[in-house]
Amino acid sequence: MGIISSGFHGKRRTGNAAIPPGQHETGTFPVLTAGPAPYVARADWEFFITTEAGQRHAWSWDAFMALPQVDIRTDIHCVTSWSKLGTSWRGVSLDTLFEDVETASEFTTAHSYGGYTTNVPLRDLLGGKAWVAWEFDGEPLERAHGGPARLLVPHLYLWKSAKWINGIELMREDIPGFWESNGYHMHGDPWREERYS
Amino acid sequence: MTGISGLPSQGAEDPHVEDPRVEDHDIAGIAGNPIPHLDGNAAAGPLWELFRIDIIAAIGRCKNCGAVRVFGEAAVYADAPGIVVRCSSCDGVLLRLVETPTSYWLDVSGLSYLQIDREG
Repeated sequence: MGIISSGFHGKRRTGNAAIPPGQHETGTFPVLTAGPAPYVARADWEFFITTEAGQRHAWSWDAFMALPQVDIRTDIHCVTSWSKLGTSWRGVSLDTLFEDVETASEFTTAHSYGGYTTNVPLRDLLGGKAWVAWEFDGEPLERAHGGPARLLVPHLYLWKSAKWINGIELMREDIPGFWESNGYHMHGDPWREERYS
Repeated sequence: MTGISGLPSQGAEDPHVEDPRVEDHDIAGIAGNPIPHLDGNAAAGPLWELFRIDIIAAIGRCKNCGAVRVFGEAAVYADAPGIVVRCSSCDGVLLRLVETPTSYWLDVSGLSYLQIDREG
Protein backbone atom coordinates (compact mmCIF):
# COMPACT_ATOMS: atom_id res chain seq x y z
CA MET A 1 0.00 0.00 0.00
CA GLY A 2 2.90 2.28 0.62
CA ILE A 3 1.14 4.65 2.93
CA ILE A 4 3.45 7.09 4.61
CA SER A 5 2.06 7.59 8.06
CA SER A 6 1.72 11.20 8.99
CA GLY A 7 3.03 12.81 12.09
CA PHE A 8 6.47 11.28 12.32
CA HIS A 9 8.39 12.93 9.53
CA GLY A 10 11.05 14.19 11.91
CA LYS A 11 13.10 16.17 9.42
CA ARG A 12 13.97 19.06 11.69
CA ARG A 13 17.64 18.29 11.89
CA THR A 14 18.79 21.89 11.90
CA GLY A 15 19.79 22.73 15.42
CA ASN A 16 18.87 19.18 16.39
CA ALA A 17 15.34 20.24 17.23
CA ALA A 18 14.32 16.64 16.55
CA ILE A 19 16.47 15.39 19.40
CA PRO A 20 14.84 15.30 22.85
CA PRO A 21 16.65 16.71 25.87
CA GLY A 22 19.53 14.61 27.15
CA GLN A 23 19.86 12.72 23.85
CA HIS A 24 22.55 12.68 21.17
CA GLU A 25 22.25 11.59 17.55
CA THR A 26 23.79 8.34 16.37
CA GLY A 27 24.26 7.14 12.82
CA THR A 28 24.45 3.51 13.83
CA PHE A 29 21.73 1.29 15.24
CA PRO A 30 23.09 0.05 18.58
CA VAL A 31 21.93 -3.35 19.75
CA LEU A 32 20.74 -3.21 23.33
CA THR A 33 19.40 -6.32 24.90
CA ALA A 34 18.60 -7.73 28.28
CA GLY A 35 19.26 -11.27 27.19
CA PRO A 36 19.74 -13.73 24.37
CA ALA A 37 17.81 -13.10 21.19
CA PRO A 38 15.10 -15.73 20.87
CA TYR A 39 14.87 -17.47 17.53
CA VAL A 40 11.32 -17.40 16.23
CA ALA A 41 10.66 -18.78 12.75
CA ARG A 42 7.91 -17.02 10.86
CA ALA A 43 6.04 -20.32 10.59
CA ASP A 44 5.89 -20.45 14.38
CA TRP A 45 5.34 -16.76 15.00
CA GLU A 46 2.03 -15.52 16.35
CA PHE A 47 0.73 -12.17 17.47
CA PHE A 48 -2.11 -12.12 19.99
CA ILE A 49 -4.29 -9.57 21.71
CA THR A 50 -6.12 -10.69 24.84
CA THR A 51 -8.78 -8.58 26.47
CA GLU A 52 -9.42 -8.08 30.15
CA ALA A 53 -12.55 -10.21 29.65
CA GLY A 54 -10.47 -13.12 28.38
CA GLN A 55 -11.19 -12.83 24.65
CA ARG A 56 -8.25 -13.77 22.48
CA HIS A 57 -7.45 -12.52 19.00
CA ALA A 58 -4.50 -14.03 17.19
CA TRP A 59 -2.74 -13.78 13.84
CA SER A 60 -0.32 -16.18 12.22
CA TRP A 61 2.48 -14.68 10.16
CA ASP A 62 0.48 -15.18 6.95
CA ALA A 63 -2.65 -13.64 8.46
CA PHE A 64 -0.59 -10.76 9.78
CA MET A 65 0.98 -10.14 6.39
CA ALA A 66 -2.46 -10.15 4.75
CA LEU A 67 -3.38 -7.08 6.81
CA PRO A 68 -2.83 -3.57 5.38
CA GLN A 69 0.87 -2.78 5.52
CA VAL A 70 2.19 0.74 6.02
CA ASP A 71 5.55 2.41 5.64
CA ILE A 72 6.70 4.43 8.63
CA ARG A 73 9.42 7.06 8.72
CA THR A 74 10.23 8.12 12.24
CA ASP A 75 12.85 9.10 14.78
CA ILE A 76 13.63 6.68 17.60
CA HIS A 77 15.01 7.46 21.04
CA CYS A 78 16.73 5.10 23.45
CA VAL A 79 16.80 5.82 27.17
CA THR A 80 20.56 5.14 27.13
CA SER A 81 20.69 8.57 25.41
CA TRP A 82 21.04 7.87 21.70
CA SER A 83 18.53 9.00 19.11
CA LYS A 84 18.38 7.83 15.52
CA LEU A 85 16.61 10.15 13.12
CA GLY A 86 14.60 9.34 10.02
CA THR A 87 14.45 5.57 10.33
CA SER A 88 12.32 3.61 7.85
CA TRP A 89 10.08 0.73 8.83
CA ARG A 90 7.22 -1.32 7.43
CA GLY A 91 4.54 -3.00 9.46
CA VAL A 92 0.93 -3.13 10.59
CA SER A 93 -0.71 -0.37 12.58
CA LEU A 94 -2.01 -1.28 16.01
CA ASP A 95 -5.20 0.49 14.93
CA THR A 96 -5.67 -2.29 12.37
CA LEU A 97 -4.94 -5.03 14.87
CA PHE A 98 -7.35 -3.55 17.42
CA GLU A 99 -10.21 -3.05 14.91
CA ASP A 100 -12.30 -5.94 16.23
CA VAL A 101 -11.12 -5.82 19.83
CA GLU A 102 -13.64 -4.68 22.39
CA THR A 103 -12.13 -3.36 25.59
CA ALA A 104 -12.69 -0.82 28.32
CA SER A 105 -9.12 -1.15 29.51
CA GLU A 106 -6.67 1.74 29.59
CA PHE A 107 -3.56 -0.37 30.18
CA THR A 108 -1.62 -3.02 28.33
CA THR A 109 1.33 -5.28 28.82
CA ALA A 110 3.39 -6.14 25.74
CA HIS A 111 4.79 -9.67 25.82
CA SER A 112 7.86 -10.81 23.90
CA TYR A 113 9.21 -14.19 22.97
CA GLY A 114 11.90 -14.74 25.57
CA GLY A 115 9.83 -13.40 28.43
CA TYR A 116 10.42 -9.64 28.19
CA THR A 117 7.48 -7.43 29.16
CA THR A 118 6.73 -3.73 29.11
CA ASN A 119 3.62 -1.78 30.02
CA VAL A 120 2.21 0.73 27.55
CA PRO A 121 -1.02 2.72 28.02
CA LEU A 122 -3.54 1.80 25.33
CA ARG A 123 -3.82 5.44 24.29
CA ASP A 124 -0.15 5.29 23.28
CA LEU A 125 -0.75 2.31 20.98
CA LEU A 126 -3.75 3.68 19.07
CA GLY A 127 -4.37 6.71 16.89
CA GLY A 128 -1.54 6.10 14.41
CA LYS A 129 1.12 6.01 17.10
CA ALA A 130 2.30 2.40 17.10
CA TRP A 131 2.97 -0.53 14.80
CA VAL A 132 4.09 -4.12 14.73
CA ALA A 133 7.09 -3.69 12.43
CA TRP A 134 8.83 -6.44 10.48
CA GLU A 135 10.97 -4.50 8.03
CA PHE A 136 13.74 -1.97 8.65
CA ASP A 137 15.43 0.05 5.90
CA GLY A 138 13.81 -2.13 3.26
CA GLU A 139 15.13 -5.37 4.72
CA PRO A 140 13.56 -7.98 6.99
CA LEU A 141 14.10 -6.96 10.57
CA GLU A 142 17.29 -8.54 11.90
CA ARG A 143 16.89 -10.84 14.84
CA ALA A 144 19.21 -8.65 16.90
CA HIS A 145 16.75 -5.80 16.43
CA GLY A 146 13.71 -7.89 17.25
CA GLY A 147 13.01 -9.91 14.11
CA PRO A 148 10.81 -11.38 12.90
CA ALA A 149 8.72 -8.52 14.30
CA ARG A 150 8.83 -5.97 17.06
CA LEU A 151 6.56 -3.39 18.57
CA LEU A 152 7.32 0.15 17.39
CA VAL A 153 6.13 2.99 19.63
CA PRO A 154 8.48 5.74 18.48
CA HIS A 155 7.07 8.57 20.58
CA LEU A 156 8.18 6.68 23.72
CA TYR A 157 11.67 5.53 24.72
CA LEU A 158 12.70 2.46 22.79
CA TRP A 159 12.49 0.05 25.74
CA LYS A 160 8.71 0.29 25.20
CA SER A 161 9.13 -0.94 21.60
CA ALA A 162 9.41 -4.56 22.65
CA LYS A 163 11.58 -6.73 20.42
CA TRP A 164 10.43 -10.22 19.36
CA ILE A 165 6.85 -9.16 20.04
CA ASN A 166 4.42 -11.97 20.78
CA GLY A 167 1.32 -10.10 21.84
CA ILE A 168 -0.54 -7.43 23.78
CA GLU A 169 -2.47 -8.18 26.95
CA LEU A 170 -5.12 -5.68 28.00
CA MET A 171 -4.88 -5.06 31.72
CA ARG A 172 -7.30 -3.82 34.37
CA GLU A 173 -4.47 -1.89 36.00
CA ASP A 174 -1.04 -0.59 35.08
CA ILE A 175 1.45 -3.33 35.93
CA PRO A 176 5.16 -2.49 35.60
CA GLY A 177 7.16 -4.57 33.12
CA PHE A 178 10.76 -5.80 32.98
CA TRP A 179 12.45 -2.41 33.36
CA GLU A 180 9.58 -0.47 34.90
CA SER A 181 9.72 -2.71 37.96
CA ASN A 182 13.38 -1.76 38.33
CA GLY A 183 13.33 1.99 38.42
CA TYR A 184 12.29 2.98 34.92
CA HIS A 185 9.35 5.25 34.24
CA MET A 186 5.88 3.79 33.77
CA HIS A 187 5.29 5.95 30.67
CA GLY A 188 8.65 6.89 29.08
CA ASP A 189 8.08 10.07 27.05
CA PRO A 190 11.52 11.22 25.80
CA TRP A 191 10.41 14.83 25.39
CA ARG A 192 9.54 14.93 29.09
CA GLU A 193 12.65 12.91 29.99
CA GLU A 194 10.49 10.29 31.66
CA ARG A 195 13.45 8.00 32.23
CA TYR A 196 13.10 6.98 35.85
CA SER A 197 10.25 6.50 38.27
CA MET B 1 14.67 -19.66 25.74
CA THR B 2 17.93 -20.44 24.04
CA GLY B 3 20.79 -18.09 23.39
CA ILE B 4 22.96 -18.10 20.31
CA SER B 5 25.87 -19.52 22.24
CA GLY B 6 23.74 -22.42 23.37
CA LEU B 7 22.51 -23.43 19.96
CA PRO B 8 23.83 -26.61 18.45
CA SER B 9 25.85 -26.31 15.28
CA GLN B 10 24.10 -29.04 13.35
CA GLY B 11 24.31 -28.60 9.63
CA ALA B 12 27.57 -26.73 9.73
CA GLU B 13 29.71 -29.72 8.92
CA ASP B 14 27.32 -31.81 6.87
CA PRO B 15 25.91 -29.94 3.86
CA HIS B 16 23.12 -32.52 3.55
CA VAL B 17 21.74 -31.72 6.96
CA GLU B 18 19.66 -28.58 6.80
CA ASP B 19 19.84 -26.22 9.69
CA PRO B 20 16.24 -25.23 10.43
CA ARG B 21 17.40 -21.82 11.55
CA VAL B 22 19.20 -21.08 8.31
CA GLU B 23 16.19 -22.31 6.36
CA ASP B 24 14.34 -19.23 7.51
CA HIS B 25 16.28 -16.83 5.33
CA ASP B 26 13.86 -14.02 6.00
CA ILE B 27 15.38 -13.49 9.43
CA ALA B 28 18.80 -12.02 8.96
CA GLY B 29 21.87 -12.60 11.00
CA ILE B 30 21.17 -16.07 12.31
CA ALA B 31 24.74 -17.24 12.63
CA GLY B 32 26.70 -14.02 12.34
CA ASN B 33 24.65 -11.88 14.61
CA PRO B 34 25.20 -13.06 18.16
CA ILE B 35 23.98 -10.97 21.04
CA PRO B 36 27.09 -10.21 23.05
CA HIS B 37 27.22 -11.00 26.71
CA LEU B 38 29.92 -11.06 29.34
CA ASP B 39 30.57 -13.31 32.30
CA GLY B 40 29.79 -12.63 35.93
CA ASN B 41 32.89 -10.54 36.42
CA ALA B 42 31.18 -7.73 34.54
CA ALA B 43 28.65 -7.33 37.35
CA ALA B 44 31.24 -7.52 40.11
CA GLY B 45 32.18 -3.85 39.99
CA PRO B 46 28.70 -2.39 40.39
CA LEU B 47 27.85 -4.94 43.09
CA TRP B 48 31.08 -4.09 44.91
CA GLU B 49 29.97 -0.46 44.85
CA LEU B 50 26.77 -1.50 46.53
CA PHE B 51 27.87 -4.08 49.08
CA ARG B 52 31.67 -4.03 49.24
CA ILE B 53 31.62 -7.77 48.71
CA ASP B 54 33.53 -9.59 45.99
CA ILE B 55 30.73 -11.65 44.57
CA ILE B 56 32.67 -13.48 41.85
CA ALA B 57 33.39 -16.58 43.91
CA ALA B 58 29.99 -16.59 45.60
CA ILE B 59 27.79 -19.57 44.85
CA GLY B 60 24.25 -18.89 43.79
CA ARG B 61 21.21 -21.05 43.22
CA CYS B 62 19.00 -20.23 40.25
CA LYS B 63 15.37 -19.99 41.27
CA ASN B 64 14.26 -20.93 37.76
CA CYS B 65 16.13 -24.20 37.21
CA GLY B 66 17.82 -24.91 40.52
CA ALA B 67 21.33 -24.88 39.10
CA VAL B 68 23.99 -24.07 41.68
CA ARG B 69 26.85 -22.20 40.03
CA VAL B 70 29.67 -19.82 40.83
CA PHE B 71 28.49 -16.25 40.19
CA GLY B 72 31.41 -15.59 37.86
CA GLU B 73 30.00 -18.18 35.44
CA ALA B 74 26.74 -16.32 34.96
CA ALA B 75 25.92 -14.46 31.74
CA VAL B 76 25.88 -10.69 32.04
CA TYR B 77 24.06 -8.46 29.57
CA ALA B 78 25.38 -4.99 30.13
CA ASP B 79 24.30 -3.37 26.83
CA ALA B 80 20.87 -2.59 28.15
CA PRO B 81 19.13 0.09 30.20
CA GLY B 82 20.50 -1.77 33.22
CA ILE B 83 22.59 -4.82 34.00
CA VAL B 84 20.93 -8.20 33.63
CA VAL B 85 22.57 -11.34 35.00
CA ARG B 86 21.22 -14.62 33.66
CA CYS B 87 21.75 -18.22 34.65
CA SER B 88 24.26 -19.91 32.37
CA SER B 89 22.24 -23.12 32.62
CA CYS B 90 18.73 -21.94 31.74
CA ASP B 91 19.08 -18.25 30.74
CA GLY B 92 16.64 -17.30 33.47
CA VAL B 93 17.05 -13.85 35.00
CA LEU B 94 19.02 -14.04 38.26
CA LEU B 95 19.55 -10.37 38.94
CA ARG B 96 18.71 -6.93 37.58
CA LEU B 97 20.51 -3.78 38.58
CA VAL B 98 19.47 -0.30 37.46
CA GLU B 99 21.26 2.86 38.48
CA THR B 100 19.16 6.02 38.40
CA PRO B 101 20.38 9.51 39.34
CA THR B 102 19.00 9.02 42.84
CA SER B 103 18.92 5.27 43.52
CA TYR B 104 20.14 1.81 42.80
CA TRP B 105 17.38 -0.68 42.00
CA LEU B 106 18.46 -4.22 42.66
CA ASP B 107 16.27 -7.23 41.97
CA VAL B 108 17.72 -10.56 43.05
CA SER B 109 14.44 -12.45 42.93
CA GLY B 110 15.92 -14.98 40.48
CA LEU B 111 18.32 -16.24 43.12
CA SER B 112 17.19 -18.66 45.81
CA TYR B 113 20.34 -17.84 47.71
CA LEU B 114 23.89 -16.55 47.47
CA GLN B 115 26.51 -18.37 49.50
CA ILE B 116 29.36 -15.99 50.20
CA ASP B 117 32.65 -17.22 51.64
CA ARG B 118 33.47 -15.23 54.78
CA GLU B 119 37.15 -15.75 54.12
CA GLY B 120 36.73 -14.22 50.65
